[in-house]
Amino acid sequence: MADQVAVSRLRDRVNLYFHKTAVRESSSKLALRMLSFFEDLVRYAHYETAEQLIAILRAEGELLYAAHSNEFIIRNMLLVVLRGVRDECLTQTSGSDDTLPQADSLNHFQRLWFLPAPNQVQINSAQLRSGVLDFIKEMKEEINVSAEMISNQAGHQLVKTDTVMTYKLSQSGTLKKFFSLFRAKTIYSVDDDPSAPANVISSVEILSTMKLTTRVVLSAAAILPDGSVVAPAGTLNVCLAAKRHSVPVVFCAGYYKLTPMFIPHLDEFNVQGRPTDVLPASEALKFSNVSVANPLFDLIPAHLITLVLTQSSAKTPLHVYRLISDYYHLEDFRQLDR
Amino acid sequence: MGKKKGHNKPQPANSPIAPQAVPETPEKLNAIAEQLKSFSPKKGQATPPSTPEGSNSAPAAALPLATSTPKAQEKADKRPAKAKGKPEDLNDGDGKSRADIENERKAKKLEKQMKKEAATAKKKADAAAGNAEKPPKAPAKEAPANKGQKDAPKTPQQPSKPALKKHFASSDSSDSFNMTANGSKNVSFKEKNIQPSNQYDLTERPAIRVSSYFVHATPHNVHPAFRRLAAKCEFKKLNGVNELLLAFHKTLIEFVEDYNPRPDLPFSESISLDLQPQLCCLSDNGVHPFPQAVGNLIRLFKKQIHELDNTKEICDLKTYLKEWIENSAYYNFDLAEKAIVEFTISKLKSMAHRRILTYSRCPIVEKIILTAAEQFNDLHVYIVDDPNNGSRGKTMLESLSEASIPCTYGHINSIGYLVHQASVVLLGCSAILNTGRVVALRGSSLLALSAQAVNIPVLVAAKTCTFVDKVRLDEHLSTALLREPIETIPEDLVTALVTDLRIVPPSSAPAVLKAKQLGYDN
Repeated sequence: MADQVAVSRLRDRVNLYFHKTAVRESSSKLALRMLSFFEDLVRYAHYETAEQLIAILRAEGELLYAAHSNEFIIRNMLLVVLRGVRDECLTQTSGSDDTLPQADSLNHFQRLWFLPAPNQVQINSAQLRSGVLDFIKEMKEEINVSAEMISNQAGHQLVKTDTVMTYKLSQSGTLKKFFSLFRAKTIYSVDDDPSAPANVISSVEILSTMKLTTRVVLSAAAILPDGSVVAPAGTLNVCLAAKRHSVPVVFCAGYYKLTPMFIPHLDEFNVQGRPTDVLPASEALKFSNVSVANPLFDLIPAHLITLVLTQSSAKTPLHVYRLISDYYHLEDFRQLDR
Repeated sequence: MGKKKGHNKPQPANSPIAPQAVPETPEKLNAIAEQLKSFSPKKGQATPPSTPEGSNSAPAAALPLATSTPKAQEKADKRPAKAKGKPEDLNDGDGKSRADIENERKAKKLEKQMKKEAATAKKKADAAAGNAEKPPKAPAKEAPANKGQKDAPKTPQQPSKPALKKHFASSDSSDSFNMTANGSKNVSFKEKNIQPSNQYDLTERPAIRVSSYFVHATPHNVHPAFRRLAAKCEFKKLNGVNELLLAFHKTLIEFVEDYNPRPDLPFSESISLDLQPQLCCLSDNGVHPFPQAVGNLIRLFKKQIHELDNTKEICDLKTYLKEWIENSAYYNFDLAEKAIVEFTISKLKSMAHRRILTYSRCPIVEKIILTAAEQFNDLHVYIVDDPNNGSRGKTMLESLSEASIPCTYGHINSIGYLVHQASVVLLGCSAILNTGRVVALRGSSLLALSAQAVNIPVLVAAKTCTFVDKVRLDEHLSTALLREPIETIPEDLVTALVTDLRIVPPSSAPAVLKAKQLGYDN
């Protein structure tokens, strides 16, 4: 049971990681940490077939996700790794270099031939291991350059003379990189701290400043398959104002934020921040029967969004679902219940 | 009340709110100048934006006046011996008055000392001299004639511009009503954080300067009640248009109470004449417009004065005016609020879930909720607040939680979350424009926008006295008395206005104006 000990040790270590961080780090760091976790699992766990590997990964991943269910990225990374495993398995069985579009959503019901399911196949587990590890390394690399690659597309979507509005610039690594590589003439940042490299306005000024804005660039926390976006709380005000003044809204996100899950109603999963951020603790006695609302996220419906920029592409919300099949395998998210 | 420092002489009971007679001898003038020198403006540090202007224009004004006529100097020397306020004063070669020349001499003396004290003292002496031109002893008809003549020769002539500037600058930096200190919120922000809507800077002039009848507000001709009102507003004791209107009513009553009309004019003319400096005091000589609803009240008051029957006794007229003001307060506050509360509650009755979303604190909305809580027990209130601007929502939260109404409190970023849970949005307003646009606290439009996105109705509690016959596209006007940031909510985001007449859609605003005869042409 050496691998059981190893696995449980890895589990403990990753849980410790979550507990240690008082303030949530940027999503990319979290994604990298998750990939490392799964990488270690692949490396140290014991398995014979691909299916066993998939089962181990899924068990650990779901356990972790159940413990921190507001972090989509955990599950997203799990799905990425699972897809990597399946791809690796496929290349080894079919012996070909090019990966077939197994999970092409357009024709997955109409296969011309049926490939053997992973559990029936005998593959070399060492080869599988090395293949998956390579895949994970590539994915990590892609996360590292995602901010830069998104910023490279800025020149296509924005002009130097644009007046750009954004939300909480200094709290998003992606946006910071974006604006450092692309110098727009005027940048308004809503609700930011005054030291940000932009004109900071208060959120009450959103509607009146929107009249002067030509583009809105925002950062997403998660992109859902119907094109709607989960963003930091307060972004909805900006998007509604932009819609009213017909200003294009652009969301930037790395691929690790693509979430294959629909959220019909935000209340079911929305996380609340600390109530003392809103009402100071000194007034707790005075307001003992008052509830405090401090949501962390807003759900932005797809009709308010013009464009979604990922590191490889720019898509309208209607076409975001095609990205899902680029990164995830259909088998894995078909049975998602939550 | 530091503001009263300038008003250091008690007013005799039977004189109108008019200046003390300014002694004409140079020695006494010098004595006054000394007195004024020792008196330093309360917020001396806050005057820099206007004092450089004042001090720049004052010496600039002094120079043309000083150098042009050495002859006039001699004339001035002789003049103190003569009687004052005669029309021949105005028939000078260059339209200066003797008092102006005396001021020049003083100014030159004081200029040798600290420039700041020189400027203020000169302005004080200037104002005092200005008042010397309408002393109670002047003949009746000459008082308006003097002013008319004084204005006429001044305007076409060369020293007119600097003279006007001097007056303008002096009234700006008059320390009693200087409100620059609290006005600019941007002190801590860097230069880059300047947006057009952030400019609550009080030294800013509006783009169009309304040429109004310039009577300066001085410590002498302004009733202390108005200055108290101005002080209260500056220290943020009065929050919101409602409290301001009530206080304004009280101030007007005090003013009418204490007012003694000039013997030379009919009552209505005299009181409207003397009302002018009071209003100038409050609005910085027309630089800042009044909040809309207050402007309504002033207009109606002036109309009442105009329609007074001057043949009646003065005390009768005064009681009539006071009664009118009290009635207006009663109708527009007690009764109107009752009506609005009733109408809203009848609407709330028909709703299945009574979950009200509101923004910051409006006293009428508070009343509505408190009354509704007595009738319905499934009420839930969501309060959205702006932490950067006084957090008035917290006071509302207090009063509601004392009445044990379940509440939820959040900042603006929680609107997206709260709006899904609420079933109606209740907002307060400070004015309703002719087109149906709602003038309200900055940030209310975000609630209206989100409410429209999730299809819940937006009700605005508006008293008919706040309907104005004006059309405005945009917001960020810094008004004279209330320094709170306001904005206009477009009429398509508002479902209905709950007025004391009935519940109307915003497009019916002109009808309400007509019904209440608040239009300009009436």
